[in-house]
Amino acid sequence: MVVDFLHSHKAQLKVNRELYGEKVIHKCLYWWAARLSVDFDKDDTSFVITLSDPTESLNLKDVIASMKRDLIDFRTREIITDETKHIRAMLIAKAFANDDAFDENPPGGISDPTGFDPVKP
Amino acid sequence: MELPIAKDFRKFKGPEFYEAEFSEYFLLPFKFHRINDEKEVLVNEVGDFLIVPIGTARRIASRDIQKDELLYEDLFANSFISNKPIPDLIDVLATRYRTKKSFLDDFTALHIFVVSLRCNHSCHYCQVSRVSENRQEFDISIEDLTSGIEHMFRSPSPSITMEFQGGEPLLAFDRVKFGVEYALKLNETFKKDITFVVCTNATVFTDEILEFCKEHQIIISTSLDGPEFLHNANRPKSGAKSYQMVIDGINRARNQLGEDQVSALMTTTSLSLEYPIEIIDNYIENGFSNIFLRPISPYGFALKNSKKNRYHTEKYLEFYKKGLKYIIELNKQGVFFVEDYTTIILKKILTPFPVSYVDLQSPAGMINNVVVFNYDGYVYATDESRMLAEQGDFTFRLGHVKDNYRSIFYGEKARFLSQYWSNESLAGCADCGLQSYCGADPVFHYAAQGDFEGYRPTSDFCIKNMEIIRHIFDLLDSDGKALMPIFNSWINNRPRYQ
Ligand code: SF4
Repeated sequence: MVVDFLHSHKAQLKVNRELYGEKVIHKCLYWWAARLSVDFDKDDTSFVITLSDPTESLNLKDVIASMKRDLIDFRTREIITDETKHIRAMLIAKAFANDDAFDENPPGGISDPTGFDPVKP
Repeated sequence: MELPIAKDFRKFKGPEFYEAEFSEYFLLPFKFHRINDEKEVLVNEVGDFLIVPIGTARRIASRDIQKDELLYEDLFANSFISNKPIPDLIDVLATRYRTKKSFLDDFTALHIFVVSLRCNHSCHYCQVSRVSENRQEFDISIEDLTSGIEHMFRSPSPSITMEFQGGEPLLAFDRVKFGVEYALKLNETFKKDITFVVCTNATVFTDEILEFCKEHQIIISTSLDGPEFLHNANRPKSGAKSYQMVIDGINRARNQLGEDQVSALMTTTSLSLEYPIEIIDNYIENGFSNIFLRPISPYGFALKNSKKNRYHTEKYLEFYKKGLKYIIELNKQGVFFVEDYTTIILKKILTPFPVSYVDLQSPAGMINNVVVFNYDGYVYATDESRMLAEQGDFTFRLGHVKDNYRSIFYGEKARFLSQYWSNESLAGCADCGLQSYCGADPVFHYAAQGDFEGYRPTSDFCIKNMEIIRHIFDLLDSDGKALMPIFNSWINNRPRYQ
């Protein structure tokens, strides 16, 4: 992420489109849009994000530092989600399958060392 | 490398498993959330967690975890990574997932009957637009009550709870009596496990009422807001002091029905926010071993009286944390006293079982676990939905008791609402690391934000739950050794040394 300019109430950032997808940027900005006015555009190589805080209630330098961290987190989430979507679909399909499609006894069992038994009052 | 903190009921594999040559590992579905400046929590699809240093999720995703790291074994044992594209334990995970969602199996269990809107109190935050004591036209008709009960027995659930609410339901005791007797008559055929609950301000008990409650093992759920000055300020009653009346009522009910048949709920107001310790002490003085430090909801009169009630969620969170800290200290000194909201979340975090708490479920508790039959015969998706209806907003009205079961419970309205009731598919929640322990609440978001889906960054529901769940993980991280025995005693509702 490159900071194009940083004023007390306005900043512009460029994010390399080869490193981050548009979905990741949207997910990240979703959480910031409540506190800042956010504009989003793209040029040939980058996403261009303009942040404005007319009341200057936030320190934009800190916001940018947190946003960098959030971008990495959302990129990580995207990798995990993409790589695991089939196994997740399989897991949920097996979990909710009707008895005939789920007739083998799974290995292992469920126990709980805290002693919590939901059947007991 | 620091050892991660994890739920400890996994079955670990033998050393030979880990000694196998793994060139790479495969990811299994999991999410993560920062819990303090140093740690994040990883949560897998079935709600198992590991508390690890920040950056661990990124390291896992970039295949940076070395197999000689202790973490590598933990990630394997807790199903965050696998040595095969489809792990051997896929069926175990599926069973665990099914167990977590098993609250859906039986469908609606809690059936709330608003038998009257009449009340003898005029609480400024009352979430229901109550009417004065003598207006019998605001009692449910016997005909509608009968139809509602018949619907209740159409629920596939083998265990049902019939809860009487108001107003003050005991001002319409004839309706409560009829309701219980008719339900018991039908149950001779249906043979369900029925629990009866009356939510009352405990100020109108008579010998006849208490004898009836005793005969039918009816649970009394009453309201106690804390010390006398606070309770009376919150709950004005013309010509009388509510606090003394409710304490007398609680004692009278306990004497006749038994200690465990009487519970109390508090409502937090802006005044209460200053007094968490005093409220907890008052509950202990009055013989209770638990408290639910709950926030006021954005419905009914509560929305209208914004000056008194629209306090900031941040202030509520301070109140909750101060109260929880005090309760934990009491427990460390040997006093068994439970905070209920924390316990609900702890059960979700630390046990493999679902928790029947309608405000914190995904799919949401509305219709799936609770339904409300209002005094006028209309059926609502939740208690809060009928409070909106009292303000003229019928969005969550599912139909009328005279309609057939399918059209009420599986009709167009129910299908429409189902689009918004799973946090797995809501913006913001879909990626949230705390999703397994949280819920979806379309009624809250509609009432507070005018939008069924809701906007998480400004949602009080999200801000509150995200911070409370994060705080609980932070406590487990910082003081887990001392806290686990206490938290286990809360989960099991048993003092530690018994
Ligand atoms: S409401 Fe907030 S805390 Fe709860 S799952 Fe959604 S994003 Fe997470």
